[in-house]
Amino acid sequence: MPRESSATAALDAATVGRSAVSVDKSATRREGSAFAGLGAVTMKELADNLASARMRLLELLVFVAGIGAVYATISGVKATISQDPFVFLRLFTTSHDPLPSFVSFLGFLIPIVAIALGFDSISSEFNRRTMSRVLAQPIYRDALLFGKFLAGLITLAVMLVALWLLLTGLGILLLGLPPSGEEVLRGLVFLGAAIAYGGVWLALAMLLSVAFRSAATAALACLAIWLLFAFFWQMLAPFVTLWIAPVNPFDPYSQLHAINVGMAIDRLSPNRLFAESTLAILDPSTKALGPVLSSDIEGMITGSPLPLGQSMLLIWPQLTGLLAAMVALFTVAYVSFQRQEVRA
Amino acid sequence: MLWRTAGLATALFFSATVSALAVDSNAPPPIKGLWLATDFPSLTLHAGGDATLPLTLYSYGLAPQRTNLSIEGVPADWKSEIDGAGKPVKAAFVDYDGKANLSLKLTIPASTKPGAYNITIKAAGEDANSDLPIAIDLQAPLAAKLTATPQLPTLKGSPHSSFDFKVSVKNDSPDDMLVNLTAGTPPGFEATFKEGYGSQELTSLPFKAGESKDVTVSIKPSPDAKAGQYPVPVDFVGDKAKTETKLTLDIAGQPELSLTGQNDLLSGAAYAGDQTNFPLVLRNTGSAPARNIAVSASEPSGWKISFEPKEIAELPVNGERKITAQVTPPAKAIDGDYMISMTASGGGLSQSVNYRVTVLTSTMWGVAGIGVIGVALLVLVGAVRRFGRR
Repeated sequence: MPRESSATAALDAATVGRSAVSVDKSATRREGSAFAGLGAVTMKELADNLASARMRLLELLVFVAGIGAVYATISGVKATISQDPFVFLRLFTTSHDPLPSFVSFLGFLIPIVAIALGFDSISSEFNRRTMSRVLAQPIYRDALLFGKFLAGLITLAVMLVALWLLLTGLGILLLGLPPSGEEVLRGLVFLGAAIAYGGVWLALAMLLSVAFRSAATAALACLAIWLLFAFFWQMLAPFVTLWIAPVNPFDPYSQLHAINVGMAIDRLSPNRLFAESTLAILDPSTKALGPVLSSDIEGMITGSPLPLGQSMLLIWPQLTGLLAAMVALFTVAYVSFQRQEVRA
Repeated sequence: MLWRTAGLATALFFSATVSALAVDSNAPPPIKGLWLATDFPSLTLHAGGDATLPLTLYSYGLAPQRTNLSIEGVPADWKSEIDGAGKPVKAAFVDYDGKANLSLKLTIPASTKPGAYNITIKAAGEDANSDLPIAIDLQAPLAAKLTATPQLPTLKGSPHSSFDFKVSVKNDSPDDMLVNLTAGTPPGFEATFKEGYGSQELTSLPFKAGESKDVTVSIKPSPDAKAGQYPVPVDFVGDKAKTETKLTLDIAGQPELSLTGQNDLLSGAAYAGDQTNFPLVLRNTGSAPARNIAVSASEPSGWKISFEPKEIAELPVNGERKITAQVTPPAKAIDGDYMISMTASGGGLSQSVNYRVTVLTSTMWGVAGIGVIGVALLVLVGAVRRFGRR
């Protein structure tokens, strides 16, 4: 885990510098790093996560679903596609009746796994009355929250990387082709987007576990929000759009405006951001993620793939939005946790 | 009395006239006998050739009779025969006041010495005889000879046109001849031979003795031939004689444009909203200078494409000029590959090239996105600082 430790070190340095400057101002400032003990908390939580029966069940579900989707897709791809430079990416995006594609499976299952990881992470400590005992150790509660979040993210990442490797191996075995370098790179970017997407839901679940002492309430609230974004948001968005941007049937520009407003509302949903990211990353011929006028594609050679960098630039707002939403939700969770009374 | 005498004289005159006319058509000819005749009983022949003399056998005032024909005085190595109605004959049967058409065929070997030869053809009938002496002045054998005369020896055209020359070829010799046709074309030129207005290409052509034929020589210059005069010798070679005629192609120059990218690269990348320069090269690969060339492009809507220089006054043969295409895709162009057709045109010439421009988005918005994440992290750090507990 060199990445976290280096990030930790950086934050460490920032915190230390700040505390050194402001020591005189406030007598209530703490001493030492806010992240002391972060590693210990993370490792312990990670061990708990990976060993818990809940996660084993969920991982089994995800693996079976993923393998089923990709296996069905491979048989379809072998039968229909004769030549495609990105056949491995197609394994993830092509759906084969009656199973949905691997990517849409993940769009459903990643939030569930993230919610399962996070919905009782804080409240269970209270319910088991272990919170005061943990905080009696020489660690700050910052480190507890950071550690729990990092452990959840690492659990998700381990699961997704294992799944990706498994499916790529399955593809090599059944198609008899190695993936190209570009396909591997795009797969890694896809993994990053999936982890960021899971991070959003993990941060939300942790926020709710901080907000509600009852784990059941937090779980139900999480699932309600997940249902809203997974199913109802795209039904609600047109109504909100009609209210914000009424369409004049004689003015094509008002229609275009309404489409743009509708997409902006739709993109408030992390599910939508993840779907657009995967579309552009896993289908290199995607060139725009919105309404396109015929004048925009005049002279364009359609169907030619974009280079990876350009695909990244295309979905950069989506990736940024996912990462920023994750950080923002975690910040809210952090602030509310810091303001809580823990000596219950 | 005088009047009567005059009247009688007139009557007599008239009757005399009438009787004279009657005598012309009905009266028997004043001559009687058998005559063998030919048009030209004294003639010049060449050794090694054939001669055919028309003979006519007349019979006047004799009863129809058989007439034997014979030739005398023919040297032993000559061949001679008398033909009637296409067949060799020895005798003819001539009607009363009739005639028989015959011909004498002589084949004179080439080895015969020149000089005067006399032969006699004898016709011997039952009642009359006739001898026809023929004097032949035999000369040395004729040299075989071919002549070729082009009707228009010089034609003018462009390197892409076909030059069609008509040449009259005559076999001026006593023998038939098979004539081979060859043309000494410059490299890259192509010559074909046809007979008259026929469509079949020939390499050789049979000529009968004395026959004349029109031969069409089509010459296609190589498309990159420079302007100038190209003489093409055309040889007609028979087995005994040959001749040569000289045809001239006067090729007028033609400019030819070629527009391509520098190093023949026809693709490039441009950032949306930014001007990018693509180097192009305009060459004149033709055979005459090109003048007043304008360079233009058919751009998709919203694109700005201009050229530097936009117009070229003159481009010499084999000259090349660098042109810079300044391409600005619209600021909101969708990423991807676009085909842009660039055209150099002028003086009836037009050369297009398709240039593939890959539109890229600038990374500025990517930096902005990182800024958003940075702000979110700053807020988190601020929260840690504000709410961090002792």
